[in-house]
Amino acid sequence: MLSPRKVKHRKQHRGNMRGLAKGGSDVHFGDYGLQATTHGWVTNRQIEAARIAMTRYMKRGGKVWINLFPHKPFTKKPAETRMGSGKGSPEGWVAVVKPGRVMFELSGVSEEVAREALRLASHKLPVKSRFMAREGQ
Amino acid sequence: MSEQVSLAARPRPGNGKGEARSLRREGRVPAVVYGTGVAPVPISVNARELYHALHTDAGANAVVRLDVGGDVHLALARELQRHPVRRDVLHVDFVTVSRNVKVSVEVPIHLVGADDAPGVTEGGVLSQELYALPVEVLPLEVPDEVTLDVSAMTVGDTLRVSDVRVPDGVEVTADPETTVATLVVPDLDVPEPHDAVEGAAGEQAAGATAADADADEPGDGGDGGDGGES
Repeated sequence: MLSPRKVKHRKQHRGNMRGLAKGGSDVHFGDYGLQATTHGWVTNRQIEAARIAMTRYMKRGGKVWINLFPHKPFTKKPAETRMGSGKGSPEGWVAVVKPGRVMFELSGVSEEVAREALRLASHKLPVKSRFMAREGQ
Repeated sequence: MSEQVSLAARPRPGNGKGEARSLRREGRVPAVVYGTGVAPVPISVNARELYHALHTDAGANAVVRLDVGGDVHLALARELQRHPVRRDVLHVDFVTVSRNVKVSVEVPIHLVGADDAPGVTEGGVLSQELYALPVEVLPLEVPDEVTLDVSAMTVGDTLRVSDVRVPDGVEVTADPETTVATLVVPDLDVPEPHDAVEGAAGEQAAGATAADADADEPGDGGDGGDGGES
């Protein structure tokens, strides 16, 4: 699963997800893409699940690009713990996704296959998304 | 060949986001026209007319006859800024061109004959690496697209920029060795992009300086729960 090799600080502030994607809002590498239309935290497990759903559906053939990386650690307090006593321990990694971000791209398959593969992938993600084709196609 | 499309433009008096937003509310797109010997002029164009101008066979390489309050410029639309979600055009630059001076443009590459390629029928995957060919050409002679025949490709073949045939008068500026299309054997297994153990080990090394006794390893280090997925 995707995770940073090393990080400077183990815990981060949660931050906010205001605004729209600043870049990465076009299909750059493949022919088709899955674009987020809402914001959210996408965990490395969700990215992996989406990738597996796509590659399984496409069976042989096709190429997948993952345009997300879970750079941000998130923390969690243990169950049945009173509030206070400092920040919880790191639990996993997330990618902060803003509306407009093209999260996955595909090539080497027909549009019907790409649509279905990306639809399956979108069900693994916590953000609303839509299918997108390369500009000019 | 690149066709000429007429587009009426209005000079816009002010500047800034307030004026730009009010123009967009009226169905217009803020733009600017500039070029050799032409001072930059802020203008606005009708969004619907701009859409039709940029959706001819020539695509984004259509030569626009831009009428700015009586002054007619031949121009190419460049630097289209789009809204990341709605995809409508927020701003466009028009660069004036001269009929007899070559311009640098990118022409779409269209692959033909993919279904007939022996490599594809054998189960190979055709991968297009380059979608647009950078060329220098006279503005009115820009081809709508260049085609590349891939019907003879077998598994392992690569077609390069030097294999693309372009019309006379078109000068290709890309490296001739740049790959345009390859036909590769598909991956049989579902590939793993990263090794989870490696990521966790690196994290442990980085976190050592923090010396938090209560800290668990972040991420997936201690969890093999996704084994059923792959």
